[in-house]
Amino acid sequence: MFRGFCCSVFFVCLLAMSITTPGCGGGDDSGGGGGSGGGGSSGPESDLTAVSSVNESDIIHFLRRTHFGFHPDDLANVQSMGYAAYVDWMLSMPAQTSVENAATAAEISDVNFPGSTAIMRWWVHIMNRTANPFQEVLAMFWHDHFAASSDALDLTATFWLWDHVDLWRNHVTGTLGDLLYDMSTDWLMLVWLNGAESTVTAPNENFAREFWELFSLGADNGYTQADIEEAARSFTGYRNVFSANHFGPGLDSRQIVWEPARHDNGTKTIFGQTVTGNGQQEYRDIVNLTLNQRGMQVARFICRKLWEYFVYRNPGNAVIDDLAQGFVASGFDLKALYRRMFLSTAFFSDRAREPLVKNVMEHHVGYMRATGLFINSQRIDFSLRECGQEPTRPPTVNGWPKHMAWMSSQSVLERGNFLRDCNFYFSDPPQAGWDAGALLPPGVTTDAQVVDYLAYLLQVTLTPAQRAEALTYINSDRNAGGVFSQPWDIGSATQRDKKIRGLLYIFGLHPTYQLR
Amino acid sequence: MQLNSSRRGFLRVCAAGTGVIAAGALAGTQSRAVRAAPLAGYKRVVIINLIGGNDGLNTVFPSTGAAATNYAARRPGLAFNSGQGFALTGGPGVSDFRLHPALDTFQSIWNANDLAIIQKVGYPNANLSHFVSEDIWSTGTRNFNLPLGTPRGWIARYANQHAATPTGVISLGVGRRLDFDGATGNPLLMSSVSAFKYENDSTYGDNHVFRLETYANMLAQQPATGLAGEVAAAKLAAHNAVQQMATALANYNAAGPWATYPTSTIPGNPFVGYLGRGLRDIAALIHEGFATRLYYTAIPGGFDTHSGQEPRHTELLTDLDDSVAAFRSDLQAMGVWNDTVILVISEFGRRNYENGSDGTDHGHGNVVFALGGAVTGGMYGDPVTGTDINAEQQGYTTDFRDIYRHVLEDHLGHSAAAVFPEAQPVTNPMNFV
Repeated sequence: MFRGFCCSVFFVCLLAMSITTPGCGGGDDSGGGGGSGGGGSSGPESDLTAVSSVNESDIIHFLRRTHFGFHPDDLANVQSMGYAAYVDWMLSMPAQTSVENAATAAEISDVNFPGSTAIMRWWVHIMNRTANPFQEVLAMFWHDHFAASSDALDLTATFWLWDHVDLWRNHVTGTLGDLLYDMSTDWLMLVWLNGAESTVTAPNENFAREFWELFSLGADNGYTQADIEEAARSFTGYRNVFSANHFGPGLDSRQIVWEPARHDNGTKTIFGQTVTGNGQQEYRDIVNLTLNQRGMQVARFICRKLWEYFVYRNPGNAVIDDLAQGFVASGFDLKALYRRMFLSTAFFSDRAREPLVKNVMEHHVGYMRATGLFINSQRIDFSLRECGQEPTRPPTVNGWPKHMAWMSSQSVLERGNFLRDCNFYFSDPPQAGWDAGALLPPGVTTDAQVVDYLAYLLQVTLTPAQRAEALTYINSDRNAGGVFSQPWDIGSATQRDKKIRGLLYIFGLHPTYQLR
Repeated sequence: MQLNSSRRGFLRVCAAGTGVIAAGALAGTQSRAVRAAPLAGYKRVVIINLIGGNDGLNTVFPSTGAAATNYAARRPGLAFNSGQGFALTGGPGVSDFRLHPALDTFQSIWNANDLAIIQKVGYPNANLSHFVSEDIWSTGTRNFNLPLGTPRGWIARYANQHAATPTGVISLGVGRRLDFDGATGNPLLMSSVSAFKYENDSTYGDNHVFRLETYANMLAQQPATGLAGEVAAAKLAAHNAVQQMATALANYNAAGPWATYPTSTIPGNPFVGYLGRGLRDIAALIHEGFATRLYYTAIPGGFDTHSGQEPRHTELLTDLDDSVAAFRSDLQAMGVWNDTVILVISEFGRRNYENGSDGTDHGHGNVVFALGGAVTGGMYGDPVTGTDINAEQQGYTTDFRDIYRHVLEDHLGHSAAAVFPEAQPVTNPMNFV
């Protein structure tokens, strides 16, 4: 299904698809006038009712927000499945066993002692090749939200990252309560925010503070310093222990264990409520207390964050309240929340088409997926570091930079240097044999067709002057004496390769390629 | 910002054989003639951050009285005695404290009356988290409560008012620091001057130049409106700076010989060797004559010495001392030492007592250095006392913002009122400049 190029999609314009009622399966391809659905009483940008139909440009918008950018195959999948059915399919998180196994074979030399870099490469390998990119985009969203870095782990503990990454990839479509609990007791999180050092005699406030401030409520929103101090007492009892020879002679490891004596089992008062000592279950109790006592505030906080990432920035209170009320009523069902958001009229409103800045993963993974120009793992992680976003290594508990902060001077140059790596490292095994000409679907042969197709593939928006510039490029070359005319000749393998790679490089540098 | 054809022709000629575009020509109003000399009498600040929480108590340690006695008692394994390190008896002359044994250059700067040592620097309501503490220093706020729309970074607030160009404030080797968050002038935040470039492609060599020319022309043709316009402006600023950086480095290298900066790493101490590169780059940029008010660089980590503090701490301070020695030598050779104030900061100090792992845990109050020809040497702030050392961690009596404010107002001559709008419970106006 994936990577089999569907030549028809580029030429099928405005194929509209009706949306079946929520909860039902596949859409049907009966045509129609298309266009995004009608508005609600407070305007399309706040309308959470299901969109009535989507057209090709709507689907492309959806892919750019949720799939590391556009790929013709993904468009074809959505079109053949029907939009609502596709959303259900992607939210069902179908197993990606074969790509995971391939990633393990390619990137992991020792599954017991993988370094953090190996795990990062494993994850990026999956992002690059999975049939369900949304799973990884959503995982990165939560990884950024509950940001913990492998920098807190030495080699005896980096194998914990298997579970940590799995949490974001495979445990984010249940309830928010389960997610908060799983996150709170994740081993890396227990080390990263000092939970494993927090004891009855010396409770550490670090996790308790971030649990509300960054993870569930937002700063200064419904909790006090006294609440933090009391919750810190509840968040005690785990310990980071060193196990010599755990995996065999000389193979030491670290484990997180529960030690009842380190837990403060006394009575606490949080949000004015009495919390009785409940041992290890108090982690669950604090999660439940937060959702019971501060449900709408948590729901608004989480909904707003998701909305700002997937839909548009600075949403009004009305649409967030509407979304949050449904979220609370569903028992904090995350899958239902995502579904409501992606099927909403608001998701396809003009406001939602206002661009957002791509983060580095969207830029890099999106470029490799769109072009097929995969480069080797060392080059990828070097570039991720230079550009400032390494999965498993968020810079602080506050996650990665947002929006225009990605456009700092060194970063934009490094994004360009990544494009150089993709296009001009011919000898890298992942792209050996890559044929630039094969990127063009049948029927795309003239200079203008090639320019327009590659701009479409990368979803860059060219002004007429920029398009003319691209046409000049494809019809010229340059030597030490300067630029000279060399009309586009698709039959010349060398020219074809040089100019297609060149246009992919130039379009990747284009301002609108930084946007999604 | 349309580009006329004659300019395009100029571009293509200029760029021949260089592998990078002659970008200055594209900048229009931002274009800048090649310079070869520092701006005369131009005041600037250089900030060196010792990231991870430098152990200030071992950096400037007490050598007499109750402070020394208590220091020795609380740090049986880590304390220096009064025969170790470097005395502070020359220059402005005090004798109650000594400098860490790695800081011989700092002693000579002290002796020249050019080193201010500010003790017990911190912020209200100690927070032992690196992140929170770094964020406090970076935002210049304790409560993170800024009016809506106000840039979060204090350097951004300063730059937007007084230095809103790509070269108005510059960082080297520290990534995208929060300090710069919200700056509208697209400041250059570089990993290094030499890495600030487009990687070349040798296979299609000359076509690479053509690609970059085409890209640059497209950037110039991008409408200035909307987010795409904003992105294009940021990319154009970086693009224009590429050639400027290459030129600056070439001019600096050609004008040498300059001091030798420590740039080698040490096995097991990966943060050594960065500061020398950062300061050498700053020397090159000063030499080029950019109108830059503030440079920011760092020893990017390693100071979080929870265990096995020595010899790692000594290695790091040696790196600091040697890097500053080379930088000072370059600035003096350029005649700009008197125009430059260097601040050496860190997010917090460490506990007064050593822990069970031959290290020290997160603390609060800390020492800050200010150095340069414009600095009046001496001890500033309140001295660390025996009582202070018997507390768990040093408190603070000088808010770090009083140091920044002093340097902005009395060295750069710019109002800091809008840079640090948050009320401080403690103010201790500084006067070392």
